[in-house]
Amino acid sequence: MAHRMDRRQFLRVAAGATATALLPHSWARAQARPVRIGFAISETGPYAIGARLTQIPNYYLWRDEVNARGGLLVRGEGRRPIEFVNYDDRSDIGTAVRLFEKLIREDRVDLVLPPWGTAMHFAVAPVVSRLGYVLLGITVGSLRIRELGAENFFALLPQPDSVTISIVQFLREARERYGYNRVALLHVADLHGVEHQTAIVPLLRRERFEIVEDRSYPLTVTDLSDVLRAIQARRPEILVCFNYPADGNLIVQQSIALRFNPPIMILGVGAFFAEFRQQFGENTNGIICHQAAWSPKLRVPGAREYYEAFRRKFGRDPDYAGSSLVYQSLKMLEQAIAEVGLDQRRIKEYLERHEFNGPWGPVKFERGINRAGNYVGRPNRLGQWQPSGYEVIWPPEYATARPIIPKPAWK
Amino acid sequence: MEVRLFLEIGAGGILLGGLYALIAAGLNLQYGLMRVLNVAHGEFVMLGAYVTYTLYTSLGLSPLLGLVLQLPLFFLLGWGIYGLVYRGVLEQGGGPAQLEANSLLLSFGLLFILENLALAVWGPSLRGYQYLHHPVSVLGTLFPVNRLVALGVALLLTVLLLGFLHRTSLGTAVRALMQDPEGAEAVGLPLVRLHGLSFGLGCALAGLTGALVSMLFTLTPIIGMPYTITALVVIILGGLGSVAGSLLGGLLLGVLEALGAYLVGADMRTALTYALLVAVLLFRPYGLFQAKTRPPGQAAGG
Amino acid sequence: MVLSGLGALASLPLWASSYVVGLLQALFAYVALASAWALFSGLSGYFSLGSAAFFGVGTYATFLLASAVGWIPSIFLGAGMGGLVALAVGGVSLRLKGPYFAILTFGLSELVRYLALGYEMRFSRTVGRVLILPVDVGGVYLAVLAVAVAAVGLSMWLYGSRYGRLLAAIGADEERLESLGFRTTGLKVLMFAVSGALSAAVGGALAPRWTYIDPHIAFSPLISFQTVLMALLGGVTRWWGPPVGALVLGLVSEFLSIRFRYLYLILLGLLLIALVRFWPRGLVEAEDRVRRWRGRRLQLGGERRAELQPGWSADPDP
Repeated sequence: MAHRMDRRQFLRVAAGATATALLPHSWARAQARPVRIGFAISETGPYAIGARLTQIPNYYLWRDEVNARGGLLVRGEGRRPIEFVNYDDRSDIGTAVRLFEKLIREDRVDLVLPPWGTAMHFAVAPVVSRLGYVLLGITVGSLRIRELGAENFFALLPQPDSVTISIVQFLREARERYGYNRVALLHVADLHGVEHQTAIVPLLRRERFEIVEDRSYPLTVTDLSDVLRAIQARRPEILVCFNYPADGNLIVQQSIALRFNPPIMILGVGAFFAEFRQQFGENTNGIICHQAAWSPKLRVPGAREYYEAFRRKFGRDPDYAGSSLVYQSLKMLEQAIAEVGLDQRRIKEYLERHEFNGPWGPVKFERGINRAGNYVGRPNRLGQWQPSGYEVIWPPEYATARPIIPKPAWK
Repeated sequence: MEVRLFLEIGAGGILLGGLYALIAAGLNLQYGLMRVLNVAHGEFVMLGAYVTYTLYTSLGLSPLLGLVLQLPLFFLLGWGIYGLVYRGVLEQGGGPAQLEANSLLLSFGLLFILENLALAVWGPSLRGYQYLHHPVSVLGTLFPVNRLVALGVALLLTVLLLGFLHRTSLGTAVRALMQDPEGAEAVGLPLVRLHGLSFGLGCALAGLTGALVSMLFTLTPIIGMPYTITALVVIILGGLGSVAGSLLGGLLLGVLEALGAYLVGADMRTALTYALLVAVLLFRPYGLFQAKTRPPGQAAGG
Repeated sequence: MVLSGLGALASLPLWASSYVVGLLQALFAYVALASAWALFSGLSGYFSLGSAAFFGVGTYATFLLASAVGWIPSIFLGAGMGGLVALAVGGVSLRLKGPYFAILTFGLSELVRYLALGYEMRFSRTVGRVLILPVDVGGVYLAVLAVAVAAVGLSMWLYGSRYGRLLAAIGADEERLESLGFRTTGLKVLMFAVSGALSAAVGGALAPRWTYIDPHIAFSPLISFQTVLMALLGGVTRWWGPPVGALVLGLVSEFLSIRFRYLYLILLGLLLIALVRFWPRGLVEAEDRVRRWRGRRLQLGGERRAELQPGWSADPDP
């Protein structure tokens, strides 16, 4: 199980498990009312790509695992099987809002799971929160979350401020060893890109890095060669990109073509997919990714088991970032429900007060936002592709390998 | 601004422009003949890209060979779709505006179907491969080989298409149909066969462009629409119905986009493309390379 | 009878589930957009693919102004701005015909989207806007209903009035009309502006549901496409074509999506193609067929309602 338990919890869980184990399996299941868990997510439309890669598979992985064990352990009620009540929001925000209202008001589900993407979370969170339901948001990354005033909403992913702090901390240590100081920034002209770029510039300036170029490009870009040429001409030693998968691939491809190879190359969303490695092979070695890096080799409970369970079920690797975080969010809810039952307010309090760990890593909420690791001052993790696979290289206490600096030449 | 940088950027633009020209040629054929605006055109590009990707990653078939295989495949696909779907609608009559309306609806239907079929078959993961991605130095500037190859193939195909249109009797019939649909019918040209031919050819060109696209970019099922829009812009630049115009228009668009993005900022690149489209429509709606500047009349829908 | 129907609709939030209210709100939003579109484009043959531009103007107007002036006033302000934008756009673009007009309106709408994005990025240093308004689904529903009633009501009036006949004549043969001495520009621009204002009003009415917008959401070209799709599907030869098209497509989408999940768009596409093949003038053909069937049965040479033929539907009722 992916959480720390104290003795009392352990005994309670063990007692429940024993009781259930003693009953004939089918009889126990037949007796229990299902726990109805609802969600509306983008199964079609432009958002479907992200949702179907990262979020939806983990929902089903979790449900099937839990049900194989006899169901979700609900405090005071034993194990109850999970039943999903879910809809397709068609990548349409209005539809998503409406469907969540339906899930809560009419379908009367016991629990809701989040949709995919920042815009969706922004629209859905206030509504769900007002209806008194907890929403543990994952694929949402924006500094404006607090503006929503959604009390029952939690955001799990390291937010732009955490991400940029971790990048700059890493760069500072790299500079002490290698002396690299010239930074070029490249970001996609979208909320994600703009917020990260806005957050990192003052941090870099404060640490007296030299920002030699700061460029952006549109979402649907087809050619970054002119931008990359301009950056290359300024001879940066560090390139930091805030990008999405398609343009990230374009950056790599065109950097290869231009023989642009800064000693430190940091990419964003998309560099953590196994497909990234499939497409670029050896050329991924040395590329660093700043998005919530994860590896099955991490010394956190459940990392290796999660990797193997995912591979067994889907025949491919999970991504080396948020996928395990999605799964962890579900385990966190599972743990809360085992402790306090299905009352939304108690679940919320439980989430607020506890620390969680694994399979992604430490999670601790502070006013709804995951500030995990604040107590050790390291809120986000960086990963890097190396010949041995995707390794976590920052912060040192979680690193599974030492960073490879400088980045090797393109093949 | 240095001349050299200027030239480099322009050259990069031309590389993409070749692709644009090819996509536009296909759409032009379809529109020029049938007055159907095929909103789903980009979906055939997307399909072509995925087919090439699959041939390369599962069979090791070079995209350039896959390209040759795809020509008849997509031609037949286009012919089939024409026969099954468009022909019935075209034969219904009802005037040019109703035809335009219905062909718009039809192509939306096709768009939904093709995009989601691709999603169902290939899934949401981003797909890509590396082929001829090494850089080569041309006059002191580095270019990736695959982009140069793409340009070469695109130019070759466009020239072949022009040759077909101007030097063969079948091509001349097609051109006659494009310039004067009613007249061609009166003269007795076999409309149905020519329509089918042009639709098939348009789809084949889209599929071929897709093969080239797969060499250069990462694939997802939703990359189709932006290509349709690019094709539209090029057709407007070059003049509806003029394949030679779309060749020039495509190259020009590529260069203008690249230079414009450099001058104004890369994030405004898309805004620039649309500004260009609007400007051309307002001042030279027949296309930059045509003599006439009067806005086109309503007869035959344009 | 109409009034009592409207009354029932207006009272819906009091007794129907929030899901139904939400669904109807979404449906009526597209009823409003489709009718607003058809007000100009339906009869005149000038197909506009730019509804999203006006819709987005209305949405942004509310997002930017509602805190200062209140939600409802911001909707009216948005409608006014939408109308002005339409006047400007119409002024330059209504010289073009056929597909050129369609492409131009699409290009302009996209240009607006990317200019808004550029402005937000460079000057506002943000991409999106957040707005929390204390309006529940019932309130949004009523606002949308009001706009839909306005749009459909205008359609009803237009299709029966001489202005409608004039627009239809423009659609049939504008050059001849002009050679006969009619000044068509004024009417065209006016109707385009009205259409734009109504589309903007829909944007403002829906705004409270979204909490967060950015130019990609507010000016999404999918809005334009869906509007045109619904109006054409319903058929523009009658005033009730676009509203029916919006309701049918909206309900079918909702139903298919719930039943068939991933496949629903494929099924929708097939449905669309089948419909175009068999009912080329849209769902309004259903009425024609019913009449024909009835006519054959009753053998009445009978009373035929003066039907407004947009000039481009060349084949008459058999």
